[in-house]
Amino acid sequence: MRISNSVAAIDPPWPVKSERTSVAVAERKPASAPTQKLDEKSDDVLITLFQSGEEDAFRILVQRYQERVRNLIHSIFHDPFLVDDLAQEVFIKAYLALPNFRFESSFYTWVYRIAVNKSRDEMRRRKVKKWLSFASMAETTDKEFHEKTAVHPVNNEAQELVAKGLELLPEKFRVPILLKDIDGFSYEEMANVMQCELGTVKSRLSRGRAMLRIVLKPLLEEAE
Amino acid sequence: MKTYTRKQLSHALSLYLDGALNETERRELEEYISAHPDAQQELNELRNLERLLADRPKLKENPVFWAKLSAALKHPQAETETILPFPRKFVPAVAMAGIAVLVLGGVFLFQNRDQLGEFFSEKSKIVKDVYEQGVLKGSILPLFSDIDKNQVLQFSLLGTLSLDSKQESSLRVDEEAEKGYRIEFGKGKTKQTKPVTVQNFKEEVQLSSKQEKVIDSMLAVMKDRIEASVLVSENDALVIDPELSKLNRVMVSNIAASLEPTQRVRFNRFLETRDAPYMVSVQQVRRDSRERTRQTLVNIHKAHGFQQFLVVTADTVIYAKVDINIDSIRNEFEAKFRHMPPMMPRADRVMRMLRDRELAAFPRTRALPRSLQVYGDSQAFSIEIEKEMVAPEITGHSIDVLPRMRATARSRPSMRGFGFQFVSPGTGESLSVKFFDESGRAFDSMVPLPGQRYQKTYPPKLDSLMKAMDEKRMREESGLPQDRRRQEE
Repeated sequence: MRISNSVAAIDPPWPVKSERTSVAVAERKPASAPTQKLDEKSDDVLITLFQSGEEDAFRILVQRYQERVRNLIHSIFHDPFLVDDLAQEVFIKAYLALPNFRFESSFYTWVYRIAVNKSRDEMRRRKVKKWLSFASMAETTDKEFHEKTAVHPVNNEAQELVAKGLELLPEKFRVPILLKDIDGFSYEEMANVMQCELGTVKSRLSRGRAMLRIVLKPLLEEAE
Repeated sequence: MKTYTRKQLSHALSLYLDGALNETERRELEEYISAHPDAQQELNELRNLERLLADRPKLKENPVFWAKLSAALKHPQAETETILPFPRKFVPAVAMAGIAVLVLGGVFLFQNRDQLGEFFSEKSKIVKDVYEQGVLKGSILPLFSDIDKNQVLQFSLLGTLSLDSKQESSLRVDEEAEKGYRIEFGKGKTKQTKPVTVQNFKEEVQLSSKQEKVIDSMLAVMKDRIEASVLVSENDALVIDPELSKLNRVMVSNIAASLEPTQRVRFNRFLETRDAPYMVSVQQVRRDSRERTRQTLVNIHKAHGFQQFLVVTADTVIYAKVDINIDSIRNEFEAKFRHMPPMMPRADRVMRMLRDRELAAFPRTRALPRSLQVYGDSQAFSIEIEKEMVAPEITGHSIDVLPRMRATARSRPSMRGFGFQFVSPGTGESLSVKFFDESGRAFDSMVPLPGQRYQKTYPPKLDSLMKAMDEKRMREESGLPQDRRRQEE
């Protein structure tokens, strides 16, 4: 096991990375004094520390963005059973790829990109599974169960309709709306996350909004 | 004032909402909105939508998310379950390969559509004939259900089974040296040779009591196989397993394998005096007698299980898969009739069916493979089967069973064969025959004349040698030392 503050300047070779993979991150003391200092550092500094062997920096990054990633996934799938599993996969992928992070984008757009890609994978998998097997039946049952037992927030009717409307949108129009209107991303950040041109982002966002406006028209007229 | 199409307006409003228009674009759009209530309405709705989206309830925080994640990082598994059996990067290549296979397959099917159409219509016709039009109508019974041990042995060694009490018609199975096997249902008395009975066999070959039990077991298994190989349906259709044609060869081979060397010589002599179609030639026997016995029984059981049957009715011949379970047939008849109906009336019916039709005019249906020929004349109904048609012979021992021409020369021109006593394996048409003169001297000779029969004699020297070997074997079996046995004698 690597010691947390052992090395600073040497790039870790691959075997070290794999060793890092098996490091017991949870065993580290979460509330120690150096960690409090870590909390105040920027994403880029934390990444640099992580790349130089400071494993605890990753915990700060996760805690900083875990809720945003979970909410993004929830907005895409509306499936509370999936959120934590998929978010976990997102951060595992980030953990494995972070040693090679090149600071060409911000950490959170990078993590969002991973989350969007993972969500796309999950959608494809669900489509194939639905086509191939009876898995969808089980999913439906779970979903129905959740709908019957979940405690909804206030104004749930309107929000449920919005959620249903979002579900109707194709993924390529749904994601830009979520990024812009829920997470407040700029067009450039959205292009980074969606891995497409700026013009495409603008076009997809406007088309997505237009489609959603048509779907939710009665609700939107009422809200005036 | 600038005008907008529906799509342009949606796009511009979206950008306006995000503050992404430049000053000129913004002013032009605002002018348009003020002049068009619909556009104003759309903008209002988009603003409401933006507000609703921004107000979306957040998920409750998961306080154990990090704990779970760190546990997962301790034991990183495959990142994600994949339903593809190969990496995703190969998807395009696999898809291309799949498309290529589909296209080539489609081209092949299109080019061969006529043959495929014929094939499927033919197959469906066979199934229709066999099952729907009642080629096999009603119950089905084994033709040979109550044959005794002597008849089983006779079939095993000579390949013949009487179909009637007067022995005027019979089932014959034999092998043509080159071509293959033949199954015949024929009229006419078979030539009487010395009788083949189990008792005669045991006495002449001089079986030990242990060997007698082994032979009895083999005969019981053989009886079952014969029973399951020739069946007759309620509407007199005859159902024949082509494997029947080689059953007696397998049986001769297995009997020989269970014998000691001197007994095999006597067995050969037994076969010859009964004018049997086969003789045995031992190259090398590796296993001990117990292993040979075990292997023998395994072999006979292994020979069972060919599910392609030849179905012969009064007006058609079909080679088709028929699902026949002999055990269930037996059970059915035990339950229904308590006793199986006697065999002879069934055999008589079959012979009458064959007699009543013009046998030579059997239509060669397309369902028959080339390696299976069915034809007949006024005296016999004959099925000829090429050797590759039947499953290869399963032998756990190195005993060659060689065809030999019987003394009763067949009058039918279709029957071909060579007369010889000893033949070197694999020599084809050239026959190497070994003669013995009266003094016991042996010499080899090439026999040029097919069909000529040579009398093989066993000179006194050989007989005395066999006697000495028998005595040695008996001593070994009794377990007494040689000198003590001499004293007792």
